[in-house]
Amino acid sequence: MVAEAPTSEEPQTAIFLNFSFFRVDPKWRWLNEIGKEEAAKEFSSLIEVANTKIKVRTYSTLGLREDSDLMLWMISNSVEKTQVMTSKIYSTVLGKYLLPSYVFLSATRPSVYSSKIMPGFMTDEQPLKYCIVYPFVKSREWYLLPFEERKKMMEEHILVGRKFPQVRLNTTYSFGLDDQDFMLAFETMDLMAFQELIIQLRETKVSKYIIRDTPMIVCVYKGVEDIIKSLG
Amino acid sequence: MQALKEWAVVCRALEEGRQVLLLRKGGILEYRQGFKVRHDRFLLFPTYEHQSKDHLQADYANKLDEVLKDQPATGTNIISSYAESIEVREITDRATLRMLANYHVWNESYVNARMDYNPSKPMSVILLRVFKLERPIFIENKPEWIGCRSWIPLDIDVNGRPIMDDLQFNTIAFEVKGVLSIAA
Repeated sequence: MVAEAPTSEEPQTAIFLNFSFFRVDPKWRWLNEIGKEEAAKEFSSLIEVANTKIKVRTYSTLGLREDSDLMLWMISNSVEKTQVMTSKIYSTVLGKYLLPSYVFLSATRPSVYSSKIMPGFMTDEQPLKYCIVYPFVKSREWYLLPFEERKKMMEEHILVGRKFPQVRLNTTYSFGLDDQDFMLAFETMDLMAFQELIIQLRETKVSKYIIRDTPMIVCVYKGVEDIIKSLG
Repeated sequence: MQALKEWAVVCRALEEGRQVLLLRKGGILEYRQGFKVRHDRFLLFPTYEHQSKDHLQADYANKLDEVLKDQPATGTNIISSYAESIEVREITDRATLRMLANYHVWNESYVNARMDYNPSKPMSVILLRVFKLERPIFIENKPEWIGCRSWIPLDIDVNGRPIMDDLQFNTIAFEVKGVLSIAA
C-alpha cells in the first residue's frame, strides 16, 4: 500500500514574526517580593514551554523608552500560535499587570534584490545583545519605479550594510499583515556601529523613498527572570 | 571524495531536485554515535536494498520502479552525483519534520518509524546542494562495503554542475532555514 501524501493542515513553510512590546502597570511594584518571585518563575516556565512549540526571545526595554518595559519576539509557523502565547501570557500573574504598547506582525520571504540575504534568526547564530526594532514604510512612488532602478538603489544600500558585519540584519515583510511594509530588527553587540550604519544609510538614494521608520526601539536581550526582577 | 550510501530512489530525488534534505539517524554500526556528517562534500552512492514504495510519498512512489529498472548489473554500481552539505541540524520534534515533508520523499509513517528507532537520538536534517557529475562513475562493489555503514572510502575527485541555479537553490534554502529556525 502506498501511503498518502502529507495532509498536515499547518502551513508548510510560512514563518510569522510577532514583536510584542509591553508596559508594566506600576501596581506590580507594590506586590510583595515572594509573590513577584513566584510570578517570575511562572512566567519563565511559560517561556520555556513555549519554546518547544514556537521560538520566543525575551528583551528588556526598561528605561530606554517611556512606553515599553519589555519585548517578546515570537517566531512561529502560524499567527494562531502567537495568539495562544499572548493569551497564556495574560493568564499568568505578571500578565495581569502587562499592558501592550506595540504589536508588530510580519513574515519571512526571500529578498527580491539579493538571494544571498538570510535573516539572522534563521541562521544558527545565537542572539546578540542588542536588537533595534522598527517598522519601515516606503513611499508608493518607490514601488512604481522600474524594478531595475530599484535594484540598483538597493544594491548601493546593501553595500553600505556589508561594511558593518557586526550588525546582523533581520528584514521581514509586513505587507497585508500590518500597517508597515517591513519590520526591521538589527542585532548587534555595538550600538554605536549601528548608529554609524543608520547615518550612512541616510545618505543612500533609497533614503529619499522612506516615509517612516519609527518608533525605533532599542531592546536588550535578557533572560526573562532577570527582566522581571528589574521591573522593581 | 568519500561516498555516502543512500537509497537509489532518494539519490534520484536529489538529482531531480525533488529532494534537498537528507534525514539520517545512522546505520546499525553507527548505533552508538548516531549519524554524523563527516564530510562537507561527498558522492552519492545509490543502494538498492530496503527501498519500498510503502516508505515513499505518493507523488514519488512510482519512481521506484523506474529506479529499479535502471539498477546496474550485480556487483557494480554507478555514481552520478555528489552533494555539499550546506546546513546540518538535529531535530527532535515531529512537527518540524512534518513541515519539512515537501523537501524529501519519505512519507510521514516512515519518518515516524525512523524517529521511533533509537528515540533518544535526534534526527539529523542535512540541507544538500546537489551536483550532477559530468561523467557518471562506474565502479565494482567491494565486499567490505556491504552492510549498514554510511560511508565508503572512495578516493575519487570529481567535477559537476549544480542541478539548480543559485536563485532556485537559495529560495529553497530560505524556506528550509525558516522551518529550522523554529525547530525545538
